[in-house]
Amino acid sequence: MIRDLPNLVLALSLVAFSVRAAIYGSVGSFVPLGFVLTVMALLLGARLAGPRAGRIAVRVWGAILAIYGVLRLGLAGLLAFAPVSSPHAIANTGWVFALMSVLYLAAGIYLAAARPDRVAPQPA
Amino acid sequence: MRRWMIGALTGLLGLCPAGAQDALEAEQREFVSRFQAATAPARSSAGERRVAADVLIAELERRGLHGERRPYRAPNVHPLLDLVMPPFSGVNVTATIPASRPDAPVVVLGGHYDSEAGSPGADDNASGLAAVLSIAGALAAEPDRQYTVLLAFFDQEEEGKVGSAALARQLLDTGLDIHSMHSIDMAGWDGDGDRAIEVDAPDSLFPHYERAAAEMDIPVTRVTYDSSDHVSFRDLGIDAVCLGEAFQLRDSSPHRHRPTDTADTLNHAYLARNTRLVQSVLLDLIRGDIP
Repeated sequence: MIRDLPNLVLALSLVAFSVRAAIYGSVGSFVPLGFVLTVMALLLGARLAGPRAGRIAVRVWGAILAIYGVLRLGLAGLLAFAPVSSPHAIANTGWVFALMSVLYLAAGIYLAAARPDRVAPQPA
Repeated sequence: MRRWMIGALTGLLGLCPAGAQDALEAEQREFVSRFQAATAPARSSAGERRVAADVLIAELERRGLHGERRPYRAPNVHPLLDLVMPPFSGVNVTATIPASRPDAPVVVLGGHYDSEAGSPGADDNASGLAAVLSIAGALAAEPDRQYTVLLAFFDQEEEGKVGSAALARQLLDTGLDIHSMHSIDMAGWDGDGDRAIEVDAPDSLFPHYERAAAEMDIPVTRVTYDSSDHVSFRDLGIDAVCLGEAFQLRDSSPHRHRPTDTADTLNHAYLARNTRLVQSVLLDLIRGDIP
């Protein structure tokens, strides 16, 4: 179970972005879809290139996730202290947004720092 | 029955401009005060805007019109924000005054109903709503309508025309033949008392507004706005008009987006005059007097 945790975290992070891509696809915006497809293609390509490339790709994705979490937290902090007139921004950057940002940050750090033999293990 | 009584009253008042002006002022003052009280302190948060939509539905029912909620979700103003923020969600409110023939094109008449946080939004934009509702009464009383009139109360204009963009897209997706869109945004402030208005209109429609303004001795300046709801329709290739107070001429409400934007700080005579101007153009339009 512990050995599968990195793959689980990786899968959950991709599911989260896939859900976002589906939601935005339904309202006519395809930036999230393009983003998640690019990430999946790069991860798959790296995995096919070899175990080492696959592990590096997962670590890079982890770093991107961590930066994403930090940026979200920064945005939430900015909106909490700076005067913003957008009720949409104010309503959607509350504690749930901050909690999700922390989860992205934690997942990113975990994937970036996970032991190489535990990330995307190859079949025996 | 009530609808026809209001229509008959509007028609009779139309024969007597001074009486029409006074009656309209009183009617709109009463509406703006009532709407402001019902939606206090503002129409900004999701909950506040929900209440405002309910009040507008009730106002339409009072006038014999069936209000319809049109919910939408929309991407963020900047595409990269779609990676971070949830989509916008809101509700436009519409009502239809049908044409005399079923296949007639549609004229959209609207204004936004949301306001900035903490602002009662009497001028921005309960003034526009008051105008739309008053004009609706006159249009509904017209016996032979060459166009269907779609009354539209837009959500989330203050976020960047989000509601009107969503409705414009929804209407086009349903295949509606839209002749033109007419919007009223902030039409209740005239600090220097010169009666001046600004109109953003395409070549096909501006002369009609200009002529109506001249007949009412209203100085009109043609402008181009990049904000307000008509831009959402113009961007989709629809002839779109916005009438407002003298924003570019530096005589627009100092109370805009402030807690002091209340019914008490509106110039109701100015608002009523502007309403009659738009009503005059739209009556000509739906009678078929404007190509």
